[in-house]
Amino acid sequence: MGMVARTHLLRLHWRDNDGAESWSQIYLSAATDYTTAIAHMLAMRDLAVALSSAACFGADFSIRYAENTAPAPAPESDNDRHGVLIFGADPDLLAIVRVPSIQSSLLLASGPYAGIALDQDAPALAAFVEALASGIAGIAACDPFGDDLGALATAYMQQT
Amino acid sequence: MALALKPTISVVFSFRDNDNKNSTMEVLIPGATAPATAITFATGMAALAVPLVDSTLTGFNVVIGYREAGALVIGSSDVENKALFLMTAANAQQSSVTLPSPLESILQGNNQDIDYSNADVSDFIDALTLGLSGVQPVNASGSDLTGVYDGYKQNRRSHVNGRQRKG
Repeated sequence: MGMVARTHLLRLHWRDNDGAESWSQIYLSAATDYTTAIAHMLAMRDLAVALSSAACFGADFSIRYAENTAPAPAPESDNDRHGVLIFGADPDLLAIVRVPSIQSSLLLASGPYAGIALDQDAPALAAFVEALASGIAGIAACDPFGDDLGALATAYMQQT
Repeated sequence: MALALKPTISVVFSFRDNDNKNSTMEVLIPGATAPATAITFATGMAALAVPLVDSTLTGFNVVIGYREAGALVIGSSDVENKALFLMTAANAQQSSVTLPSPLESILQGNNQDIDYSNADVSDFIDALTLGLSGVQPVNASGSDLTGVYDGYKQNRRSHVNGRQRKG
């Protein structure tokens, strides 16, 4: 398996006066350094704003990688079956990470929540949660407000 | 209007299952994270996510977003009208760039074709084909955009906050 860089994607977000939204997108070479690409996006936005009567309310810079030798999914794979990891202690500030097609082997095999709750002691899951909470390369995951995730509160399987 | 960096960077991992259904897993990291560090984080999390799933990881995106910090003042506009710029590229592949709700002042008298003599239009096209801030835009396959071979107004359906627009 190998992850290869794709072209960078710049997306400008627009909204009109009845709330409808649309976007413009422009690609840059994957070799473009990130700081220069962001500066380009913001400068391009200024040029685009002069051409439109809608409001440009946002701009996203996407660094994209794709697997060029992806193996076939397992026959039992199902992206509607999620592992749901809920972090935090304050009910108003919970953060969720959803893992598609969670392995059934990670579900508890016994007890009242057998087949529903995820086994938080499973080494692979514990390593994943530790990386989210404690970080990789000095960076830990955060909630939508930019605050630390906190401890894992609960983890279960959800079919959607 | 001024854009401000969002408080979080979105790291989105894509997975495909046996029915070819695609799904994503989003992890947020602080918005001040350097892009190169975000890539290191994403690569590390990808390696830890693969053992948890029986679908296939097909890629990931690191999305650094900026949003308008102040209140939006939006005049009469309609994003379902788009200025469509059909582009040529160095690899002879065609591509397009769309711009929602074009001002009438950048259209020719027929209210349909783009007026290339308009100074703002000219600046925008030059930025696409000659570069801006030292960067040359490309098509999706990474080939430099070289010119515009047509430009006109087109009507396409849009969405409201990700939902189908009514009416």
